[in-house]
Amino acid sequence: MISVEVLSRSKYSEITRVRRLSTPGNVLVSLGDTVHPSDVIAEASTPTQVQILDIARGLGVSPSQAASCMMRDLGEVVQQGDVIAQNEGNLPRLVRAPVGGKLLDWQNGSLTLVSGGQSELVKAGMIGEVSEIILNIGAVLRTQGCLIQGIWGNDRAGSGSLTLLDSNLETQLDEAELDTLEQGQMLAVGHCSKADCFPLLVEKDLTGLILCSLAPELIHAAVAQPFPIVLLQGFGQIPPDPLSVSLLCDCAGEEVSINACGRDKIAGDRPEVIIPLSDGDFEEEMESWMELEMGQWVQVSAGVALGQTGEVIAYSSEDTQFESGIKAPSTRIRLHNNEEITVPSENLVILSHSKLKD
Amino acid sequence: MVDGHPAINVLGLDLGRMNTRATLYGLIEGNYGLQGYGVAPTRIDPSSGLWMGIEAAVGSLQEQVDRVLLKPGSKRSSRTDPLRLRMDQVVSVISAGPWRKTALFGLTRGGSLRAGKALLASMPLENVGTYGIGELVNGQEIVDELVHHHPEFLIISGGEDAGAEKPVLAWVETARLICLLLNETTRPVILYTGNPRVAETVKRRLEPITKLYVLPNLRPEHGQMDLVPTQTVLDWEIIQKWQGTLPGWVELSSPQYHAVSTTSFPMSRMVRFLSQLKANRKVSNQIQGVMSVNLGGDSTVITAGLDGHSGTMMQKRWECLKREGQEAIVHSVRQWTSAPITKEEVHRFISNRTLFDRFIPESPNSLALSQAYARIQLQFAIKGFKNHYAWFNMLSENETMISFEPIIASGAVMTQAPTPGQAMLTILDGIQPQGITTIILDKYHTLPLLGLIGQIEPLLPVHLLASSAFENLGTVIVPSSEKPPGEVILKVHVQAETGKNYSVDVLQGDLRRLVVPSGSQVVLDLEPEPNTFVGFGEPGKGGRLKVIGGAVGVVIDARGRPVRLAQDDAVRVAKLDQWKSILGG
Repeated sequence: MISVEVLSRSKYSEITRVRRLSTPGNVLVSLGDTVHPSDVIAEASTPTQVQILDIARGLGVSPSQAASCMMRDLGEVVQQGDVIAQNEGNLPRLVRAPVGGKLLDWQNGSLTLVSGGQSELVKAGMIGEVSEIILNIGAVLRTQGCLIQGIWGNDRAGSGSLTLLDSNLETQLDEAELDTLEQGQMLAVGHCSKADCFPLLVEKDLTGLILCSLAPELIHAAVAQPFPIVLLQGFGQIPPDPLSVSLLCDCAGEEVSINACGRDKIAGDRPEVIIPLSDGDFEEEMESWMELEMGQWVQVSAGVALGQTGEVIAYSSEDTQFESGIKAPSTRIRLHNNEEITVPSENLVILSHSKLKD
Repeated sequence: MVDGHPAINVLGLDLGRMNTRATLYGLIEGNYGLQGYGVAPTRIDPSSGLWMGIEAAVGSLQEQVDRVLLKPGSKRSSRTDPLRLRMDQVVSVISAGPWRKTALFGLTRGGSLRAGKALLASMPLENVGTYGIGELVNGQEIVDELVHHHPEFLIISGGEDAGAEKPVLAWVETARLICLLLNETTRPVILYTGNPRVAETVKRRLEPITKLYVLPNLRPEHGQMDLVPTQTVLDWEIIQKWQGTLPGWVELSSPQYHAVSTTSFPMSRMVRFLSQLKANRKVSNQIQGVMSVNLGGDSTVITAGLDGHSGTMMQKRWECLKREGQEAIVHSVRQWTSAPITKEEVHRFISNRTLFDRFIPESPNSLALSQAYARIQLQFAIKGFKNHYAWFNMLSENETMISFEPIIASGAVMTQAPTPGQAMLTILDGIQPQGITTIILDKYHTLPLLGLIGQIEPLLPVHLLASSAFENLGTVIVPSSEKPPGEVILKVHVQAETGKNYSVDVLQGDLRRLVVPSGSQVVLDLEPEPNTFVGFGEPGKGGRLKVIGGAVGVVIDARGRPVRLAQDDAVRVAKLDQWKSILGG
């Protein structure tokens, strides 16, 4: 049996995602809270502004004497102006905290005071509910709805009301097509090859962009956009996947969230579109690897038919010789235009147990 | 029994980013050999975990060797169950884990920083910052950067033995500060590898607040590097960290199993061992090392050894894209693609390749593109290796050329190449070796495992290296001459086993293949022109070689170094195609 990776594309999924800090901090949500993509789930703050206070010199004593003049302990948090050290000699002297902060370290009569800081924030990245709190680290979020996983994202998150450029996503993104776009929407488009569209999308306050394909020369421009962009099929001009089109059409007008993160195999993260739905026969999300089976809807991940999608009509674990001369197990798929192709099984990802009924 | 003591059976597991391999080693007709081999995709996502890949690979191996290696268990077990493996000895090498963030404090660019960077580049470590003596004044910036990056390891190097102390101690204070700022559970492990004179002070300042290793100086004297002790510790520490994060693998490192290591570390041990053997058998006037090259799914690893010393370089698959930029790489890949292809097609290919790990090139163009990118990866890795290890510049102190023989290569782009000639040509174009060498294909990626197994049973690697697990692609002779293209630079007189003798004139710019049946012996008398160097110590000096024919026969590569490609697209593609045809298509 041949196992390949899965990119979930399903209308009715139980979706669970874990959001966690890389270092212990504070969880800012509670059980049962409803969250949106840009909500902060947890934060961790680390002070980084460092000041070295020469206590010995400030008090006019030797470093060894300075330790006994300390009025505070290491680890204490002080406010600006607080007395830190005091010398009760003939001429009493004080050392006060120049800024508020934490007393971190002591060496040879000098004290390290830290303040300010860097924050690590973990955002929800989806519309959902907090189903579990992970103490000091993060939370587990849950929702039910349509899940469309992509293959590339520009590392942003957002949400908005979904609109499609056209019902088949065959129209390319063009300046002329954007006149009818309303402010603050989430847009699904078949293909984008014009960088000029991006500034117009920013002007329209676009909250996210879902693309079937993108011209590779626009990758840098896409990364720089302030709104999240998720790519579903590949770089280059690729016919839109009918399954994804159907799912997006069904959800037009709904509130959609995009988490356009990068792929993280360890954490299991993929860029994805989640559309919460209240009614439906919800199933558990597909596993990240599955065995190829007849009737599955698959996407070609490499080669001549890159990005195209179709139905598995035959597969073999025996080696097939391809035109390149390489032998490998193969799968025969029927594309949406009824053309049949044979591809190396390794060059496939499973999208769904089956294509949606016409 | 082998040499009077009981023979062992060993199961080797190689957990790569893309594939998990299970290899069974044991006795075959009195010698150790590879009894079977299974491979399956590696799964490292939270739901399925590493064990699924291991189970599938061992299952595939089990069918081949007709032996039960897995005890019956639940069909879709996602828990690792070490008791299910019915083997006394299991060794594992792993490269599937994420690279660990590491920062380096040192002093001088040519000294401790150079040694430290070579160390970082030799292991799956992501360099998040390198700071030398000049940066000591930027304390606040360094703190900001490292708090942001949160390194898991911090290497403090600097000061030769009996050398600088004060700046090293200044770095120690910076390291202490960073540790105190970070949460106790996420403080970096510190490896102190500098001037041993201040080791006690280092321990006093750092041991109370974080895990500290005090290790031999990376740079004990000017011009010397001693990385192995620190690599040994890092190897162990990286494995510990991966155990904590890679799902379904933690039990595999239980005491039941003999050895676990990162993949590159035992690979360098094997190369060091082989280079020491070579040094012991040294033929006068020839300085030869040993090299191993792996073009893995996630990274390229080059290890080279000379006289018992070795260096290793690991680079992520798309490192050259990140460093050189998309445009430069698109241009370079296009230059090396033996098919008429536009810049846009190359750009599209590379952009999409970065999205998925797994890829079988099914068309001639996609094969040509993937082989071209493999060349660029190798060239970039060799360049990086030379930066870290000056001795690798293939010239000894007295300007005698150093060659590396054999060059042991592995990686799907070579082991799955449609013809052995294509595998050979990828290596020749990527590494561009000099002198006389033999290209060996490690078909089952077994070299790293042998580096581990050799600690249990030293004979096993020796037997395996002489077995069919390593395919001899052929001997390569690289004559080096300043003569213009088209002029004779070398005559080769061939005495075949069949008795058929013949001679070949090699012209400057030629790529020639002598068809020598695989496994049969030929004697080559090399007669270079006066200023042509062929690896016998000095220009113009010839010699006799007894070689065994490989899958490609014997190759004479007189294309010059570096290999230059025509600017004209049609001429270049025709030439690349011609070279491919010469080596068998």
